[in-house]
Amino acid sequence: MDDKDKDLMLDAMFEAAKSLEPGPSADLLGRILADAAEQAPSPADAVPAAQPAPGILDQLGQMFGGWRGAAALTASAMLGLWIGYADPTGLQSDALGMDVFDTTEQTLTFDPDETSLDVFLLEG
Amino acid sequence: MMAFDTDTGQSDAALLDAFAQGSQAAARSLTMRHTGPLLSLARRMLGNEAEAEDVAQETMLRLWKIAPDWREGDAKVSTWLYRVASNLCTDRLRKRRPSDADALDTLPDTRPGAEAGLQSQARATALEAALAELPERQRLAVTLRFLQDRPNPEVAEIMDLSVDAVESLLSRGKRALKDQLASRKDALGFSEDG
Repeated sequence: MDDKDKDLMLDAMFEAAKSLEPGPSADLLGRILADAAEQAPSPADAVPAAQPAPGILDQLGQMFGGWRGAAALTASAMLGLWIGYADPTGLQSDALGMDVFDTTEQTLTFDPDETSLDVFLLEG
Repeated sequence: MMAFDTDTGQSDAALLDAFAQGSQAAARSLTMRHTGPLLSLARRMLGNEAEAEDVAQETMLRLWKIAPDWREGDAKVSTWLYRVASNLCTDRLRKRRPSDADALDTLPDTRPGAEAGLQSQARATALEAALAELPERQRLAVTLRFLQDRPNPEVAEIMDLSVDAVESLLSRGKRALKDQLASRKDALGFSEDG
């Protein structure tokens, strides 16, 4: 038997050993799985799955307080526009009969004579 | 055994990550995939079924413990498992006293007894006996390479050796096996004429 024949013999014996290898017992598999269950992380310990980075719209939304904040901001802006452009006639009187907007022209006058030092000294 | 057969085809690293998230199905897949090879390695290194089972169980337990810290790219899971199992076997062999030799030869004989399988059984038994005579490092290298089908670079990584050193161990191990077994070639069904 030369070396090549010995190699073939050995290869055949390796194959025989592999094909006849008994597998693990159900008892061993059960013990290993029991260990796995014992070592299982609690929900609080589990590492959370990575979340995708928020987009620019999401970041802007968060900046203004989420969708509720954005809605409130939009409503306020629309109210401001309406107040600015609407005819003020309807706002002349409110339910209490008070003028909301006084359209009477008021003029501030300035008479330098009445504010002179002389007048002040005369009138005390 | 079939009840445990839940292999999903996912990578070991993906299964380990799933286990770290709490998946017991992933644990079952990893157990089914690796327990057999680990047990086989430990049997050949220790020659004792109970000890081999202990090593396989301890190796898998260490895998469960390291799962939350496992980083893909560090190493192949199978390589890591073989390395742990090999080290556990080495520790046990070094702790053995001479009287512990009586504990050997307690491997299960579950091989087929039908006449068609008798020759294969005789060859397998003869090989196991010859393997047991090899020095520890040669036995480990030969088992990983030729019975677990691990490539030389992986054997080198498992044994923490250079590939050249592994090739040297394999060469010496194979020669020793061939010298032992050639004298029994006729009994094992290997005649001179083929």
